[in-house]
Amino acid sequence: MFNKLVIIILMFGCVTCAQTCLAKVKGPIVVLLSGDEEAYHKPVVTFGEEMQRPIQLFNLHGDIKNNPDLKKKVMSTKPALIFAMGAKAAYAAKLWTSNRQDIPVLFAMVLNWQRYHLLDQQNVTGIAAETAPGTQFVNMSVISSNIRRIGIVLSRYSSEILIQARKNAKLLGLELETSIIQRPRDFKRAFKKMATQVDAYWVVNDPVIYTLSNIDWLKERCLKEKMLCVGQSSNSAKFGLALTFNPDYIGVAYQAASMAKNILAGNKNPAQFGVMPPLATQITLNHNTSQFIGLKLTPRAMNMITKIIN
Amino acid sequence: MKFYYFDPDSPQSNLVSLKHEMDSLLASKGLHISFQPFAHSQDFNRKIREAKPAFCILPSWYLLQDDIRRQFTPILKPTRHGITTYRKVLLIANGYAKITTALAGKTMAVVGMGSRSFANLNRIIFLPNKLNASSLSIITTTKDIDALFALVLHQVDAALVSKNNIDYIRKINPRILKDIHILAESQPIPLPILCVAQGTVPTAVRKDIEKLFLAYSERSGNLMDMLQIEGWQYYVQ
Repeated sequence: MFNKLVIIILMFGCVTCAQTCLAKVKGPIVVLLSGDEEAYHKPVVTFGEEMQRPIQLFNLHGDIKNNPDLKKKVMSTKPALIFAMGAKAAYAAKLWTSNRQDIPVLFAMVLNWQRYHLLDQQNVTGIAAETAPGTQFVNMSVISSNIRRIGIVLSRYSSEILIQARKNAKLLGLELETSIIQRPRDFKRAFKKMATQVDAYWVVNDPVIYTLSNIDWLKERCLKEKMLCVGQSSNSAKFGLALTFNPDYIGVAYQAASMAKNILAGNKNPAQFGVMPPLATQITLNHNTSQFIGLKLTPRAMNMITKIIN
Repeated sequence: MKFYYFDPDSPQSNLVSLKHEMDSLLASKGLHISFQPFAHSQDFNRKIREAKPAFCILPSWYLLQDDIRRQFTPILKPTRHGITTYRKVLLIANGYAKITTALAGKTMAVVGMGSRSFANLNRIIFLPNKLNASSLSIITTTKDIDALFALVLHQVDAALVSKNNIDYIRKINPRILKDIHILAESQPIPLPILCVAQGTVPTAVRKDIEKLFLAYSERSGNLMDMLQIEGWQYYVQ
């Protein structure tokens, strides 16, 4: 008799729990923007259309002090999930949910997300703003199948990137030639030393390497060495690098919506996702530079380029 | 007149070149039709409804939508390797032992197939292969090749990718695919279909387009490689 009672109570608890969970899932999706950047607009629209459920949009307008009641407004909607775009929104969402970790937070377009310790909370997940080293390498090796050795110069601030780069290069059967430097002025020597030993050079967004003087010099040096130098934003291609790979932010929005739907359906929790790299890539080719350095692309490789600039 | 194109399974990312080639082809026959390819379904969804084109090439699953089916009539279907369908393959990286447990709790990258994406995936791959995908986390990519690369780099556990794209990449750089293997194959999927808008396109223009595309295989060059199509034939249900 007692066992039957326990079973009935447990079943009631399960049903109640399921109903509670479902009730929570029925809340709106909150989209929280860090500011008024144009870059957020299309991804937010895409995300909203993909979610196919009510979305409520809030904006920090650059600073939480601009709207001190925003936390109350957001939390009063009883959100099923918060999609935070930009570093400030991600950080705010993490703080606001510190006592409400039943509310998942998914971030995107946060440069150097590790700086903000976003994964200190189990309810936070996201998509990195930077294309993974492996994505850069695999696209490089498809665009130019002769690439076997890739050169990288970086500082200790990019040690995580180096670990990932080594792992990804091994998967792809590529070799890395690396040089770790301490000061910006060491960059030129390090690059010159490796230039004849590699098939391509990957420009890392490293705070020690990435100075105006170094990048100016690098652009000229890549031309002089007829070296394929690959960057991580399409602006680098406009600036003169032959090839760049950067995230497609509309693609990131689709990816974010997928992650959100899986979390809400209970397929995965935020901690299981961790931070995913952006899967969608745009490839930009600087046609003049590529011709100058003698980069030979097959028609198939050319067909995979998203944008060609002169 | 406008001619829209949307095929997320195509490896063709250079839409400016594609537009140039297709506009040239249309102009060479005196057809004043502007070709507009789309990279993202969001943009295509909006434009096809706001500014209905005279013609469009769109994925077969897209035609399953009621409002699209009411407005567009399929007229031609393409061929590739002599057939009008293609298949997708479910790929995993080396290391998964058993097919029955391979998907449980895993992530799979795949190009979106519209608002009924999961139902479409169930129909073409999961049910026919008796795969339990109830706890599978599907991650949508905008391009088929991005899904393939995500698997190659172990950013996801599985990927559903067009067989044609695997062959496409294999011809460029086979080393990338060395650790990938096929878990299951989809049902045949019709290649993207050429449709005409109902009731608004003069018969003469429709016939010109049909004639142009039916004779298409005689005009080789980069356009065929871009569309990954070898020829066209009349669409018969």
